[in-house]
Amino acid sequence: MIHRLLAVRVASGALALLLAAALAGCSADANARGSLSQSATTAASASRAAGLLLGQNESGRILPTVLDTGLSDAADRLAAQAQNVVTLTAIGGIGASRARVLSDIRAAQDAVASAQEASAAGHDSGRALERQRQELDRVAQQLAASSKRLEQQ
Amino acid sequence: MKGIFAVALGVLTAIGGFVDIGDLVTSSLVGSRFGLTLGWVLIVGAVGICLFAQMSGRVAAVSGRATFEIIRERLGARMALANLSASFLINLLTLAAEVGGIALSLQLASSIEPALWFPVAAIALWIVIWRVKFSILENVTGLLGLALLVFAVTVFFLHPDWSALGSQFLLQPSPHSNEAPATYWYYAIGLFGSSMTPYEVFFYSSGAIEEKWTPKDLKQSRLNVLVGFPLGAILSLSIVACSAIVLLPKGIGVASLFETALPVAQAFGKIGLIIAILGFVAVTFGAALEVTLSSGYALSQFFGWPWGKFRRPAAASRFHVVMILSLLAAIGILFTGVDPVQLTEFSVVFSAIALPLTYLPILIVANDPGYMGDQVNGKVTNFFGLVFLGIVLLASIAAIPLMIISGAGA
Amino acid sequence: MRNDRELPAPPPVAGRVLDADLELLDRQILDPDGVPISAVDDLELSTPADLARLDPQHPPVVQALLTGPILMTRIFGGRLPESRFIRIPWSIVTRVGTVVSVGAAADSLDASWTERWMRDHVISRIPGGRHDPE
Repeated sequence: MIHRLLAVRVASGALALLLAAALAGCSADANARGSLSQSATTAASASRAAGLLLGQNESGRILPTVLDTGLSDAADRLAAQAQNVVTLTAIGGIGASRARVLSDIRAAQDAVASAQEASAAGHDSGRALERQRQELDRVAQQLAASSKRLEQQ
Repeated sequence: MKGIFAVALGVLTAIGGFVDIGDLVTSSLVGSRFGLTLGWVLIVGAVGICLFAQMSGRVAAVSGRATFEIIRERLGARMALANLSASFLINLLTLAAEVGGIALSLQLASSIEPALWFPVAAIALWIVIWRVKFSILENVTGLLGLALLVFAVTVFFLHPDWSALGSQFLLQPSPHSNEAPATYWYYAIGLFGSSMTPYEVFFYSSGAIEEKWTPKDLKQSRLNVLVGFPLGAILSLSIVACSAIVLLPKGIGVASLFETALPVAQAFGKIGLIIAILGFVAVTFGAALEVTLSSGYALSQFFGWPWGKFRRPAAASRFHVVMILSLLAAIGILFTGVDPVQLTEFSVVFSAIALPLTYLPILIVANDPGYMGDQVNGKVTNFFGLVFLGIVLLASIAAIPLMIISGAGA
Repeated sequence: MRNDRELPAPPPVAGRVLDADLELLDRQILDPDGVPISAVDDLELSTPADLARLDPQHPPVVQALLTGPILMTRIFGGRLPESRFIRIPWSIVTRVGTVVSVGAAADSLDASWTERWMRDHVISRIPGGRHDPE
């Protein structure tokens, strides 16, 4: 009896896995707007994280290795979201939003890149990176607002 | 005096050894998106793992046999092979995640890219498994893992709004109402899978044989489990709380390991970061050792090969070869370029799916008088065991549909 | 489903009656030093070619414990040629309990050839393989 129950469970689990794989293969996200909103949220989160990191660095709380790692991770995530947005087809009238989100992400990427350059050149203490931090916070706010707007449309 | 030292060592090792990369990532992620509203999952998971670890340790101490040996005898070769295949694959996934976690932690310490750390970590793991005695390996990584206590201290130092935290914990609606219910439950399952790790059962029971437990050692084991694991769960809870306090209000969803450490930097600056990173390296390394050994244990015990670190490698050749191949497979997975954090998120959900496979056999064997004599499960243990079996079955069945509906928690 | 009334009574013998499926198959085999050899993956019986005409006077006799690739044919079907059977002759089995004990040392048996192969060709080549862990 238990063997049979187990067999049924294993079989249905395998079937579910196959189904999931098939669904994942076909594009599960047919909604371009949802995808754009998602990218904007993720990019906002990455920008804020970089901003928080720089802010803490200003008050001398961050190890240089952590600063490097954090900025590099943020850069990677922003690049990934930029890639998502670029390859998104602008259907359903989201062309303008897409352009706005993309330019915000690019601005964030520039800010992170400047911060990385400054840090590599040794100008990473005190208020040297304040401009980048403020830019990142500003961009994050805009991205979050775009995301919300897209969701509510 | 020596007795107290041994007892303390056992408990401390259990606390430090409780957390792995799955806990680190999932706890901080959940805290940053859901506050403490998913905290209850950690409590449920802790009770579950205590129950089943204690059961599997008792089975090993009383019967002298380890988990997979008994699974095959009790469930038959076909069921046991299905069980083994699924468990082994998910173990590999988890191993890749843990090795990835080691690399990420070392990146935080060194700025050196994770990809360069993968082979270094794998070789270091292999050397430790090859040459270091079991008890030393366990105790050192467990004790160093206690560095993560810095998260618990951080919670207090951040002077949070305790009443807000309390009401989150007691399940007020999620602070971010754009998180769909499906996403909430998807992460609940992930958090559950990260606390009730399947490999723990294999490892704990085989470890009991490695350390040659007799029924006399059960008292110590009970103490380690019933005191150590809940305290370990509180450690995970403090990681959730740190994210809830610092990251949630800023809308930062955790997707990298450095974000997990930011709350500690806020409270204690560079010193805190150093301690946290030490903790990260220790727990991921320790967990990777456990998962590697578990894959060796599972396969060897199923086929009836000689196994164990108590034997010289030459006396347990296939056991060691399996572990070497597992480590190679793990870095193979990592070199495909997958993001270790995303890999971790998937591995905890698949761990949740595999849980019934691991826990049902333990429950069956712990009730078998042929192996346990008069030490079979009492009624209370069986009651809770069945309740938890129901919970893990539910989590296992719901995991994939929730993954699809929530878009894997996006 | 079996009708138990139709089965012949077990032969009156001095000794234990075992259920081969429950108590022999999938059990661990240990040598006199407690070193694991393998699990009982299958049993070799002396059966007549025609299973429909089993003779109650000459029932099948367990000849050997089988191990190795026979496990996969047992689970998934298929047949393994007898020349590729890995046998542990029943005559060396000393005890059947929760584990099956045999009287020959693990290294002397055919059944653990893969263990020896791995040991000689892989593990011994790696420094420290023959030493106890420190």
